[in-house]
Amino acid sequence: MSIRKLLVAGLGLLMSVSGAPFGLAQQRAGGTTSPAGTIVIDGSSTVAPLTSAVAEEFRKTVQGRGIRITVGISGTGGGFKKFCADSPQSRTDIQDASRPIRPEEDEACRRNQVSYVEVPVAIDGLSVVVHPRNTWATCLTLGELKRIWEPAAERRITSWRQVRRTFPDRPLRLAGAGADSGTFDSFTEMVTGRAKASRGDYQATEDDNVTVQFVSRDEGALGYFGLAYLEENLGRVKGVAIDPSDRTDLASNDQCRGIEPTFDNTKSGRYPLTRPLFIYLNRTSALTKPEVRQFASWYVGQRTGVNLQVDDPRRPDRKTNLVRAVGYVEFPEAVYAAARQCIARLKAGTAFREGGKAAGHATLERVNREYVAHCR
Amino acid sequence: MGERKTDRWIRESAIGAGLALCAWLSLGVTVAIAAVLAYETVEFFRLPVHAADPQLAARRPDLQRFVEARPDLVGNPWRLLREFFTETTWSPLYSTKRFGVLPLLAGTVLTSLIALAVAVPLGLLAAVYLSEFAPEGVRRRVKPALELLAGVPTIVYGYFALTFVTPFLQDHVFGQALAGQNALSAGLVMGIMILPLVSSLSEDVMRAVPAELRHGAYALGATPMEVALRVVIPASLSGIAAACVLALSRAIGETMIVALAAGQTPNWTFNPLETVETITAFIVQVSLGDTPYGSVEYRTLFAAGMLLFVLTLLMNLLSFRVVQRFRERYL
Repeated sequence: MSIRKLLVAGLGLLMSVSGAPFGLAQQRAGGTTSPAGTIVIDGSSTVAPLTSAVAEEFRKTVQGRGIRITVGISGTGGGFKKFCADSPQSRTDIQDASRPIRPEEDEACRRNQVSYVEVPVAIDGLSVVVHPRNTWATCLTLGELKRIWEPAAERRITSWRQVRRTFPDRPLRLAGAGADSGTFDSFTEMVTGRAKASRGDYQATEDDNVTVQFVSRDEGALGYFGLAYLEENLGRVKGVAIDPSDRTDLASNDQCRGIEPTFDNTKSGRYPLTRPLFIYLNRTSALTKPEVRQFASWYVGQRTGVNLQVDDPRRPDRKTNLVRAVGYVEFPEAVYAAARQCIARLKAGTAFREGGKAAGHATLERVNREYVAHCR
Repeated sequence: MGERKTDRWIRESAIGAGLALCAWLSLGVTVAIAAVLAYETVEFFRLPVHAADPQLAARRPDLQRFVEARPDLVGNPWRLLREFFTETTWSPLYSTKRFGVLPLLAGTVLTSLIALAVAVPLGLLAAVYLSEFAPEGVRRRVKPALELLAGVPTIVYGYFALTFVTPFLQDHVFGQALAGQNALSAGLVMGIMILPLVSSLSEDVMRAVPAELRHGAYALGATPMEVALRVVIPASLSGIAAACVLALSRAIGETMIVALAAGQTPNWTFNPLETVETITAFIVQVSLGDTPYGSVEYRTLFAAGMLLFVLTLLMNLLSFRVVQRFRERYL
């Protein structure tokens, strides 16, 4: 008797489980990107923490209550593939991107009749760090960093002396981001000029705390990670000022015109190891689903989203804006004002073009100038 | 009377069918996993073939990237296969892609051997003590305490290795020669993790050795130490070997400890002081990282995973053979 009951219950369970996918498929065949009341976001793992934090705060507001927001992490490239997919049911509403859209992605979007609104959300700054007792390397040029980190340096540049003649002949030990992180991508692109081009003989880790520990224990060490981690670990590691020139023939630190790695220098665009981060809105979603547009304008609002005041995770009893709490730096207000205009008008296309095509690359200067002009 | 009999028959055959279903389910899941792994692995090694087809390459961005990264491999799957098993550079995530898996294999073998070097002697000593020398009260308390070690979450072990063992070894033993992430700390801590596997299983088989054998040895004038070393251990050798192989399999497959404490630098070395990367650490790196689904980098996951699968399968076959060969039967 009881076993029969169990069998029936099991059968029912089996049917309900196997029935679920059919229900889902029927719902999806309707043609919309995702059902109303949900926002599907995917893309860069660098932007995802920021988008997730903003989404969490947005859901606490009156307009955001009850809206389901999912934030996937398939990388900028993988995300754009879904964002501009040929079948509408697999498209996402919003794409997180750690770089502007590339020409081939733009082309795929056009082919599948997906138009988008481009929104810069934050600045990602990277700091190069050394041991606090390292007295020689207070300032390095981009050229010297390239000499240290390019693939050709592997097993060849192993002493500080080889970086600059005036440096001591001490072993140079390196630590940095694992080859599968957004930090690795941006650092290699900014320093060696090519994404993912790096020497392989360094201590690679996805956990920035490991790099902090590595550098804080070895006077000859050099490492890199996001700016926020430097702020958090001042005293254990020391930030190196970066000179944006390619020179590798400096005679002393006096010739090095380094910019200190601070939030303020990053915001002003003077610090060279920076890149803009974006989100892209699917225009059809933004038109048919008010919540997508509301979320996006809340994201870059004057007192909301990235600018929302929250508790500073690094200094208790102090407040900071959300973007810095997550570890990035905010744009000047003019950029966010332009972004809000772009969202309000659903202005299609990217601001970063070369020869009529999407450029796939943008500096902070181009965001401040060309993006602001693009939305006006 | 007859009705009750059929009722019971139905009940028992239902139970039997349920149990059979469970057995077949686990087998089915294993076969399905192996099939998916095998399919994706073949797809990885066929990348050069697919890339040589211009029509297909035009449609698939992963093939375009493959052609860009390694033009020399296009149309040449055997070369990729040879590179995989013979070359010593593993850099599928870098722009200069090399697919020699030996550094990952070396990292895996190195950390596992260190773990075994810790766990086997300590575990055996513990087992001999618990089974032959310890008073019953001590045994009742110590054995569960030892087994508790296996219940500690591996991420806790990982941070223990990273933030305690490594700095300790750097400060007191090796100085700066020991890298911040290294095979040694990971292996040592992994040894502690698998210690209960060795000690507990070995202790069980030692206690299963019939008391008559011990009494016989004592009757011949043997000391307790001689009984333990010359009678009990040889008699339970097959069980001990099986415990060790099981522990080794566990070490090979361990993920969190090595990902945290051993590092993510594929390094062709057998120096335990250096940073290495194991197969499992690579899998974690790719599956938690920024790699787009369906890319070349993504496909390397399956080749690495297949290698791990084959490795553990070999270990299991080995343990099976060992048990069969050394098994002692007492009547």
